[in-house]
Amino acid sequence: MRHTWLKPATALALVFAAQSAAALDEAPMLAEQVAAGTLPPVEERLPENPRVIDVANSIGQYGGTWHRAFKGPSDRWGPTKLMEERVLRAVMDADQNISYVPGWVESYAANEDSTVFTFTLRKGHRWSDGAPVTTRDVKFWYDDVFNNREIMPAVPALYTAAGEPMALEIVDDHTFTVTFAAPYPLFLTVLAKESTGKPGLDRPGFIEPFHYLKDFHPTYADEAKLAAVMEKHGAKKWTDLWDSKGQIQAWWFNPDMPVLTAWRVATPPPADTVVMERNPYYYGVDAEGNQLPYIDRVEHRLFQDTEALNLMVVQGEIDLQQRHLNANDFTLFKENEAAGDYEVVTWTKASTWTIYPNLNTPDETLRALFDDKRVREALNIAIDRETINELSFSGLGEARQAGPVSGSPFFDAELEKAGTVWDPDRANALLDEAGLTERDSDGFRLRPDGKRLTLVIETRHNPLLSVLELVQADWAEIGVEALVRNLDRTLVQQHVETGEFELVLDNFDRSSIITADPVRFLGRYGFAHNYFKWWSSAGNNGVEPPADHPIRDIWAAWEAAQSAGSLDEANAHAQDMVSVFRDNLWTIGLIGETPAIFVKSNEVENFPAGLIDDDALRGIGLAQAAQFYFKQD
Amino acid sequence: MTDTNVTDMDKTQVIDTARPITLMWWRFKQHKLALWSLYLIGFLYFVAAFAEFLAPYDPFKHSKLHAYVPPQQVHLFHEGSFVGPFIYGLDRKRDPETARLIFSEDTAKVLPIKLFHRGDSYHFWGLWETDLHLFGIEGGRRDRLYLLGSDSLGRDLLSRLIYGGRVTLSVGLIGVFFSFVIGITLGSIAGLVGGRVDAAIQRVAEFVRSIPTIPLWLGLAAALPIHWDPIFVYLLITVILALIGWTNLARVVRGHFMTIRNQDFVLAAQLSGAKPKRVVTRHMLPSMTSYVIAAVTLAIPEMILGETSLSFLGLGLRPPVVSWGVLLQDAQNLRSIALAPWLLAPGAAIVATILAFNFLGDGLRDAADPYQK
Repeated sequence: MRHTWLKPATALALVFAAQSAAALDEAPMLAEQVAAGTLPPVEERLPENPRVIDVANSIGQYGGTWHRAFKGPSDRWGPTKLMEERVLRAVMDADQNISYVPGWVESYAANEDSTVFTFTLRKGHRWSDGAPVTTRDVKFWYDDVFNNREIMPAVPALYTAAGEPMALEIVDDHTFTVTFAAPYPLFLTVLAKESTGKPGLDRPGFIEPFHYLKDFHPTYADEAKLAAVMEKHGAKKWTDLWDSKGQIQAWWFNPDMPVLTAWRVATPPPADTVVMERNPYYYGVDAEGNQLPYIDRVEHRLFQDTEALNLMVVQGEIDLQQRHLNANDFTLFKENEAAGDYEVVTWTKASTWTIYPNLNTPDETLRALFDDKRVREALNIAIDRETINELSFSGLGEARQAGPVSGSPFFDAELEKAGTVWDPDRANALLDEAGLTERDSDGFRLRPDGKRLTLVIETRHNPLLSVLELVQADWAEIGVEALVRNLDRTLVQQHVETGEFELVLDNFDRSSIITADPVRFLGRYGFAHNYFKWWSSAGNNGVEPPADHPIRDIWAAWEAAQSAGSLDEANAHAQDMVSVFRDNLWTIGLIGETPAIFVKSNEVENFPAGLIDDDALRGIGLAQAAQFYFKQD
Repeated sequence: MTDTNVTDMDKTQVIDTARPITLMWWRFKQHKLALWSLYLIGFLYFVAAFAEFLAPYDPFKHSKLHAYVPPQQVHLFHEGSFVGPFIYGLDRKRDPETARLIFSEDTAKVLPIKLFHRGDSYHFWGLWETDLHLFGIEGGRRDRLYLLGSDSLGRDLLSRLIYGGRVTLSVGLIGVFFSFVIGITLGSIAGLVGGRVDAAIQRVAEFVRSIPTIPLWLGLAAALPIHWDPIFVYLLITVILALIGWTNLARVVRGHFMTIRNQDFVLAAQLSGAKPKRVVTRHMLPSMTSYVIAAVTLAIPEMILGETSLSFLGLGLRPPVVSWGVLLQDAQNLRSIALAPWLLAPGAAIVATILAFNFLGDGLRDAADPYQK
C-alpha cells in the first residue's frame, strides 16, 4: 500500500498557494459581477488556505460550456460524480499510485491507535451563497441528521466500530474530532468513498448548511412555515423534503441549496437541459492561484435512448462523457472521431463481468452442487474466455477471474488467472468426479435427483446476451444445459435481493480499493446474498450458513481488518480476505479490465488518459473535473 | 375445372353454374400481384417448414474468427476459367486503431459451393438425425459460406433468417387466428340473436377491454416459471392477446349483422328454409369478407413488429430465441447501421412478407365478391 497522509508535492503546493494568495485570479464572468458590486472580490470569497488542485497538464483558461447528456431526473450520478466533494479525496498519479489528499477540510489526522480522528476546517471557507462554513454546520449534521432516526433509520455499519456508532465532538469553530469505541484504521479510506451516510452530494457527510436547512428541520423551524413548505412541495412528512429525492435537501432539485462544489445547479430537472453554473465561492485554486473551476457552465441534455446519445456523440455534440457509453460501440466512436471532432480516451474499468452461482438458491440439489468446489471449477474452466473477449469485447478486455484489478494494492496474480485456463476435458473429469456421471438422451448430465442438470442464467444487461450465448455453447460441451434469460432490471434485482435465482450475470465492481467497499467479496448481491444479510444484520435477517461453511472465513478476515490496530494490519487482513476468495473460487469471472470509453472533444484539455474507473475512486471525479478547461482562441 | 376447348357458349354456362369458390379462384387469379404474393407466402412457409435442410448452418453455431463478415460474393470464373459457383476464402485483419475487423478475399483459395452438402447435423422435425443440407461449401472446418454476411458472434445470417422465419410465421400468427375466430363467432351470435345474448356478450367485451394490460403482464412476468421455453411463453402471450383483442372485431361484426339481418337477401334465404348456420356462413359473413380480410392483413404485420415489444418484461421474444423481430432488434442501433448494414436483412424479409400478406388480402377481397362488376 502506498497510502500517504499528504503527498509532499501537494503539501508544498499548499504552502506556495498560501504565500501567493495576493495573486488570486478569477473567471471573467465573476470579475464582471465583482465590478458591478454584486459579488465580493475573490480574496474574500476564497478561504485563507484554499485547496490547490494539481492540473493534469497545463494551467487552464476560463470559459466555455461543457455539453453532456443525462437520462432523466433519476440519473443524478453522472452530474454528481463530476463535482462531489469529500472530507478527503483519492488522487492518482501517472504511475497509477493512489494517494489521499484533504478535500474540503484543511487537514486531518488520526491518533496512534486509530480511535480518534481530528479534522480542521479551512478558515474563511464559504458556502455557495456566501455564508461561512463552520463547525456549527458539522454539529448540525451530527445532532440533527446523523442522529435523527427519522432521516437515518439506522447507523450504517461503516460508521461504527465494535458495534458503537462514531461520536463527534466540536473543539472550536474550525476543529472537530470523531471518536470510535475501538480502533478503526480504515475509517479514512471509507470516508474517501462514502463520506457519511449515503454517498454523494445529497448528504455530503459531516456537514450540512445549518443557516439554510434549519428552516426545514422541525427542531429549529417555525411549525407553520415548515407546514407551508411541505404543502408547497406536496410532502406528507417533513423528511420527504430531505434525502436524495427531497425537494429541499437534494442539490439536484433545489438551486437554493447551498453547496461546496465547483458548480451548482441553476436549471434543475425535470428540464430537458439541466444547467449547472460555477460556484463563485468554490474553495479550489490551481497552482498559480486561479480560482477553479475553469469551465463556466455544464449543460446536461436529456436523452431517452442510448442510440440517441450515440448519435449526439458522432455528431460532435458531446464535449466529455463516459456515462451511458458502451464499450461495444468503441469502433463506431473511433471511426467517427474526425467527423465529430472528438477523441476516444480510455480508462480501465475496475470490474469483471462475472456469473455468480447462487449458494443460496432455493433448489437444494443445485445448492449442494454449487457448494462443491469441483463443480464451480468445472463451470469455470469449461468457458473459452478468449473467444468471448474476441467476439463480444472486440478483444479489448482481458480474460480473468473476479477480483482486485491490476493496479489495485490488493492485486493477486494467482486469483486473476484462477479458473480461467480453458480445459473442457478436465472440466468433464471434475464433473464426473463430483458424481454427475449419468447423462440423458440429449447428452446432458443428470443431477443426483435424476433431473437434467439445467442452470438458468439471468441478466439485465442486454448487450451481454451474446456473452451468455457463448457460455451456453461451452457448457453444453460438458453436458450442462444453460438457459439464458434476459429480464427487466427490477425483476433481476428482486431475484438477487431475495436469493431466488440460480445464476446471475453481473459486474464484479469496486475492485481497486477494496477496503473502501468489500461487499462483493463478502457475498452481497452475488454468490451468497442471504448469507451476507445474515452476517451484516448480526443474525436478524437472511440465512445462517452451516457452521463449517468457508464463507465464514472471509467474514472473519474482514472483521479482523475492520478492528485492526493499524492501517498496515488492516490491509494485511484485507489481503487474507482476497486469498480466501481465491481459494474458494465462488465466482465465474469472465472478462474484466475492459476499457471505460470517454468521448472527449478536441477542445477539452487537462483530461488524463489511462486512469482506473472505479466507484471507490469516484469514477470521473478521480480526474478532478474542476481543472478541465476549453482551449480558448 | 376449366377446359381449354369450351366454347363461348359453354363458358357462359360454366360461369352461371360454377360454385362461388370456383368463381372466387378465377377472379383471384386475375389479380397478378395477389397471385405472386400467394406464391411468395407459400414459398416462405415451405422454407420455414424445411428450415433445417435449407439453412446451410446451425443458426446458433458461432465462429470466433468470423464476426461481422460482410455478405460474400459468389463467383463463377476463377482466373478466367469456369469452375461453377464458388467463393474465395477469407483473410481477416483487425484494425489496431479502431478494433474493426477487416475481411478481404483470399483469391488463392477457391471454395466451390456444392449441392446436397454434408454439414452441421440436426434432428429433422425431431424425427431422425442427419447432416444433409441443400448447399454448403467444401473446404476446411473453418471455412464457411456467408451469403448474407455474419453477425457479431460469427453466425450465418442467412441460416438465422431461415430459422427466424419459422418462429415468426408460426407462433406469431396463431394469436391473430384466435382473435379472429373468437371475434367473428361472438360478434355474429350477438348480431344475429340480439336481446339478452347480445347484451351479455357486449358486457363481457366491455369488461375484457377494461382490464389494464400492463399490470396483467407484470403479474404474468412474475408468476411464470423461469424455466419455461421463451417461445412457449410467447405463444401464451399471443393467445392472451387474442383473448383481449377479439372485442373490436366482434363489435364491428355485430353492427354489420344488425344492419343486414333484415335485408331482402337474408330474409329470402331464411324464407327458403335455410338454417341459421347456413344463413350466417353462406349469406351474411361473405358480405363482410372485405372488412375481415383487411383487418387480418393489418393485424399480421402488427404482430410481427410487436414480437419484441413486451421483451422488457421478459415476456416477448429475446435472444437466444431466433425470430425476425429479434434479429431486427439486434440491428436497430447506430453500430449496426454504420458497421454492418447487412444485419438489416431481416427488415427486408419482414417488409416483403407484410406486403405479400397485404396484396394477398387485397386480391382475396376483390375475389370475395365475384359477381361484382
